[in-house]
Amino acid sequence: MRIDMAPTDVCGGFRIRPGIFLDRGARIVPGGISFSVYSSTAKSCTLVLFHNGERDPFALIPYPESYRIGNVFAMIVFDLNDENLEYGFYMEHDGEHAGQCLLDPYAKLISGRDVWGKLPEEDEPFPYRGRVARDDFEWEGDCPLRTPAQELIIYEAHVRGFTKHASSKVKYPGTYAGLREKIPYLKDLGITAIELLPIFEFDEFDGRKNADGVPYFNYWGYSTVGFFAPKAGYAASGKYSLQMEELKTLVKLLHQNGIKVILDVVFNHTAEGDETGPCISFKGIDKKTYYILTPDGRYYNFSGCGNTMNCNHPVVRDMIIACLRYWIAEYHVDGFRFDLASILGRSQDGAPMANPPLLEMMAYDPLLKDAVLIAEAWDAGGLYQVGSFPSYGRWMEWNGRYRDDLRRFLRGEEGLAASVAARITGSEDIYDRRWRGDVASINFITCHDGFTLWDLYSYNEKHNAANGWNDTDGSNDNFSWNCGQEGDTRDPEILRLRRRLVKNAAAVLFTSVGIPMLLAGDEFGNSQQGNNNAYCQDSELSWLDWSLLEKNRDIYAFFRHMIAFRKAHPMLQRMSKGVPAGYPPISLHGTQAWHFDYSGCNRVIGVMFAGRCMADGEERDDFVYLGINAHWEAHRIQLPGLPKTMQWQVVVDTMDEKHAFHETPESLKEGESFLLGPRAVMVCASQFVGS
Amino acid sequence: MGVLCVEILTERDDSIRKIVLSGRLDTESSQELCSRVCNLMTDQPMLVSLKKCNYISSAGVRALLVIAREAKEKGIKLRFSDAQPMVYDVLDMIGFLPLIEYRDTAAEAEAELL
Repeated sequence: MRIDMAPTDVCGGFRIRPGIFLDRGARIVPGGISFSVYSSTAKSCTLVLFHNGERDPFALIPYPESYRIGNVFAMIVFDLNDENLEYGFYMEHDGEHAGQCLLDPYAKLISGRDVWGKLPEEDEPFPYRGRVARDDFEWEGDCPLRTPAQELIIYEAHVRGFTKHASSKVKYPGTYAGLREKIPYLKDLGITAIELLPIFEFDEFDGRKNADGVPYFNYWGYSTVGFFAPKAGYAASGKYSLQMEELKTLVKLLHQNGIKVILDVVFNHTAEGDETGPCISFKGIDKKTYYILTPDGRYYNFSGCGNTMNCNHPVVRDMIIACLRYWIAEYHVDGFRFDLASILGRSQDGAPMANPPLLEMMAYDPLLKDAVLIAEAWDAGGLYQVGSFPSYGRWMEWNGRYRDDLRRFLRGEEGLAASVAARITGSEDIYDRRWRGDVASINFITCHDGFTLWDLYSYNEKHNAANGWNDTDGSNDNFSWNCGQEGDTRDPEILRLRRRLVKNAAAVLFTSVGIPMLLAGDEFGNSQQGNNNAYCQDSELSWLDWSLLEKNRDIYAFFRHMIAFRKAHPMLQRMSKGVPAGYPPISLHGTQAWHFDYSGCNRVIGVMFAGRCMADGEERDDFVYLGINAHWEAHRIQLPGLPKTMQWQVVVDTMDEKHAFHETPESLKEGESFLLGPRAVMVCASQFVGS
Repeated sequence: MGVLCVEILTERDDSIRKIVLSGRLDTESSQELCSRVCNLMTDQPMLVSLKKCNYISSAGVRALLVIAREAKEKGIKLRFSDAQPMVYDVLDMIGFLPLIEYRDTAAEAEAELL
């Protein structure tokens, strides 16, 4: 028993004592709960306690002056039932937001949006409330996975959209539990990491509007209310406040199946908007600390969402680091993808910094040492840092150049052969391996933000009218091609071509050097009907339609085989232990072996990868050849010669409609060329034929 | 207010020790639940019926896990069974049914314990 855990005072009938000043947030301690909060501007602070769901508080307990050290208020209140308790703070400032009950920035559970889409009462004065969490969990020995980053094959998914559609046939659609039911599917596909769109508590009604009677939601969730709390509305058990347990079980079971968990996190702004936005937490607690403000006190908007978090203020830095550490230590997640990460490198006056303390801290933090750190290396304030993001040799980046160059080349644009060769071979022109290591480039052709892969080859233009902005939202630079008809068609030739282009993209993605990322549903031809900005579409438009899995079984099988193929050839992951004698690890070719055509009109690329792999229990030389014909006419391809003990086998020919991946591949005779069809991709692998 | 009742259905010399939990499994009852059930553990297999439990909270879930772990450490075969819909749903949603060796019916659980 500790002698300093006994009540020292009584206030309003509640036994209290000074709390844990080194903590922030609420923590269960013997006999009570410690509530601690920072503010540099508050003159005084009052703890506000509610019973669950009650409109009026049952206790208002002012922090005595002696319960404040520096800018931290800390108090233990004894004899509280933590399961029937919601809390917030009143803070007295000179300025705005007086009398408003404020959410704890460190709240580990937040109530108020427990069931997705359930409208709160219009006049609810305190709509988001902190709850006290019990962090203990039966992990059964689990810890964050330690598999090498080179083995990442990332699958980007939205928790709700992944299983909300009736065709998912899960018991708990649209939830962490629903996703859990799909783990066998993910394992069968072969991905090694799932990247979840934001799961920090957000308000799906943020920016809510109705147009033509259709409700629009903040569906993607890029607008954080609380950084430490999981989205309750994504939990089937959210109405029982068990979202923490449900999410932890999901992480544990994903790990048991060899799948890492990466969270898409949004630290660049909050749900509080600008001067006209709601005051939920940070604004009322200490807006000068938490936000970048203009000299006259207005909100800078580098995020495009009204405000900008003051990420390099020491207190905010501490909060972000504490948050990341919390998700690693308590939820066992394996990494993070940072939305508009360039904001994390801006100074307190908004200027980009050469050596941003926050990014440096993340790169060197002991608890984050093995965590995947992925930057979306730009922001809405014009900062574009693809290739120049301050990385400390640790950070990976969404490679927007890969997406754009591949999209343009694969639809048949000229003038891109040399750039595309660079993208396929690891984008070393952008990411110097000496400084950036082997895994800096996250290669992707599609992501949540833009067309799905099927739509990329079904639409020339975006079709966002359903978003209610007269088609003014969403990018116009999609580099897509509808193959001859906009949208749905029954034309068999067009459909054949679309399927081939989808497979072309997959074949190139999974044979490129770098970390591949695919958008959930692309592996079975999911469509958003041409909508390239489904941020507000909580509807069948954005939910994955699992009935397509049966319809497009050949596409799924192709993705699955390509993922397995990638895993079987370590040099594609920069994990080869050596290079065959006399061969460079990567070489470029054209219709003629060893002759790459750098001319502007070239649309035919060959890339050969040479390394070592395990086969039949022994290490052998290994060669992979990727041939891309983005031209609308067939071309005869001469493959580079192999050592005499080996011959080429054609593993992939996307001209083959039903079996583009050849499970029993045909061999090519020495010197034999291959006729690669129009707009088609081939992949060959070396076969050992003996001495 | 969490009110919990632990009902003992069998005597110590029966082949299975059967216990019925009734009431609310929450923060106010969970500590007592753990100590009472753990005190009832002998070397007999144990069947804990949840058929009269009408509510379970986060603390109640933890109590069941503590009981399951205690039984495992003591080498006692233990099964939970017969949860009411709300309790079953909670345990199912959060994926805890496998952790506590839950069976849908007492008969199914008994068959494994004998």
